[in-house]
Amino acid sequence: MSEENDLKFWEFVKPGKFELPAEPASKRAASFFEKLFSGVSDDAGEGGIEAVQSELKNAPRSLIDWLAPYPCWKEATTAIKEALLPWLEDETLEGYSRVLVAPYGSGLGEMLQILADENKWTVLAAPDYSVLRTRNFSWLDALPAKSDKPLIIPRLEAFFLRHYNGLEHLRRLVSKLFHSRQRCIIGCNSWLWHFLDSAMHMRESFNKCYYLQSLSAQDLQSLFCSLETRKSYRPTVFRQADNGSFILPPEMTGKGRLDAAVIKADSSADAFPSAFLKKLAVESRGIPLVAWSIWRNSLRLAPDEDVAELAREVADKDAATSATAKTIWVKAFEDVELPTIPGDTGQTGAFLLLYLLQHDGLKTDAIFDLLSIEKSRLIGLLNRLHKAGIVVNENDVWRASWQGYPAIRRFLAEQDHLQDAM
Amino acid sequence: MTLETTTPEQIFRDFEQIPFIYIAFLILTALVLSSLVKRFIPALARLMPPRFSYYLLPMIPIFRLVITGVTLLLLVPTIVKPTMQNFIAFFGAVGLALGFAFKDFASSLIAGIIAVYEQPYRVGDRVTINGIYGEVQAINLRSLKLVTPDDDAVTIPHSCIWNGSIRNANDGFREQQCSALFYLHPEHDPELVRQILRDVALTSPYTQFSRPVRVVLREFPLATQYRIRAYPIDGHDEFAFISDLTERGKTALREAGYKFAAMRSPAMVDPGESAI
Repeated sequence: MSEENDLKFWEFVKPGKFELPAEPASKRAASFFEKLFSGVSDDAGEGGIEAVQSELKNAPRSLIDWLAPYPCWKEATTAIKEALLPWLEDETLEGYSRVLVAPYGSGLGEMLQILADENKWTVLAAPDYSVLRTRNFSWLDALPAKSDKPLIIPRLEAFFLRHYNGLEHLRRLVSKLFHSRQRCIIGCNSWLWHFLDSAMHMRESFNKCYYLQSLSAQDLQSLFCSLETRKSYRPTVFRQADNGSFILPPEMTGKGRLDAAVIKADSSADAFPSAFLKKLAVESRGIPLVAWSIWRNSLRLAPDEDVAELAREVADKDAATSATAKTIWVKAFEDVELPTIPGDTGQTGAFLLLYLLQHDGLKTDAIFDLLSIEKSRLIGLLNRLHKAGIVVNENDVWRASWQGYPAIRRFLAEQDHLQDAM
Repeated sequence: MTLETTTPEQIFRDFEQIPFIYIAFLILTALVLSSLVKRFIPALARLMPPRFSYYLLPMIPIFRLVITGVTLLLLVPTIVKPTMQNFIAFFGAVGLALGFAFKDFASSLIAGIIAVYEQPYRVGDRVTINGIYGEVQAINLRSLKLVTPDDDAVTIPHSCIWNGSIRNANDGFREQQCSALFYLHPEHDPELVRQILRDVALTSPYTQFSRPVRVVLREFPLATQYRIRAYPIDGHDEFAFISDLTERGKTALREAGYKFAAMRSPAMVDPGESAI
């Protein structure tokens, strides 16, 4: 597999072609029987590995940053261009706007920002929160003049407020764009898109929309290999802690990659993508940052490894001369501890989480303002959810944690709240 | 022709033949089972997503009725000699006694059985019976228990279904339409008011989007009445939803510079308002 092909996992598709990653039924049945008979199978040969598993320790943050750095969205912009190329080059436009929809934790805003920067396209700046909650629409008068180049709105969430005055700002923006006949590319979070479609039939206001295709297990494999090789300096292998099997193909990870001949038979092509990645794809619904975050959480080191020394090696590339492969242990997917919704979260918690997803994060004051619920209850709730790892606070902005997203989505589905389609 | 008279000795078993331990066991088992059903099903409903409670809770009276019926069927042959003649005589006598001595009780009992099958109300429904509005908390054999918005528990015999009318706001469904009323001074732009009030409903966290959100208006001599009609996700949030719509609706209209009606004429009072 060439490196060029490895990065071809970003794809924008029409809504009808969107698919969630799913384990084949045969595999599900196989894993059921594996589980059923796991107690009677002969695992004697893996006793040593089990012993290692129980003693594994967390990898240091610096090493994790080295092994799984934050994804670079540059490759994804190529996929956006590919999807929009006929429309971008068309003189007789079939519609003036295109909406790209991606689930929470997809990096869509960053992708569009990079696309705009690369092509020197104008990005529409969002008005301030205090403006959106009033009926002062004067900011719309300052919209850029019509241009041949597309106007970019990387995050429609920044223009949205679930407030009785907030919806009118969006209506007027859409109307203004429609009248100006300005070519426009809009990025929108799937939660907000579904809300706008249900509440305001927003889909009808735009000509076409594309969904970011979910990443399959194969795509995740390519993504993690590409992330690891970005900074890698020596042969590295990723092994599952409970049975020693390879999680990523060893020939695709690490610099000075291992010769295929020295790799054990269990790294044969048909073993990939590994069961871990298949489960991860299903659990994360193929959402890049959700999968990436869980992946980072699952990385471990053997007990005899000196963490300080490793951190030093990471900083000092001279260690690249090392001939032996570095083994990174990966927790079995069942052993990865993911955040769960606290039992007493209730309906107020569902409202809060739904608002955080739809707005792609909110400041504390905005939460108090938008949800007519006692502050003391909200503070208690935020603290509990923060402690459980369901929400995170970055620069006074509360947002749903990526690792907590699968639990949040399940919780909101149980509570019958509006779901996104992705 | 001679008439044969039936004596109690011919109907009932001899005292020594009656298995008192078995009868006690049967009654005890029925009580335990009934109590378990009463506790287990609501507990199960709490564990499952809220929408399931609307299917599970109405099962309670059905299960309890089945338990009572089966217990009676098992119990009667232990006391009455098992012949057709005896059964007819026994149930005839019981029926007669109930008919005279416990007329109202029997009426409620039969109405209860009919209510279980006809379902004019189910556990979890929000109903108005005899002018009392509340949520059905329990359906027993003789009566149903309502809990009003003021948290008063009201016991109403099932016999109410014979003559009275029963207004069921959600009729077994989770959603229930709710209304919030606003009265504005007649001089204003109704289109903008409707838009603002619609946005109030659309931005409420309680709103169910699979059902329509409507704002209807009605003209009165002293005011224009606006009514937001929308459904909360869970009908149990009826009052929280109406309060949220009213509070934010008033703020939104005041912020937009609309004047509320100075006074309301008696004609403006909607008959439905009294129920809410």
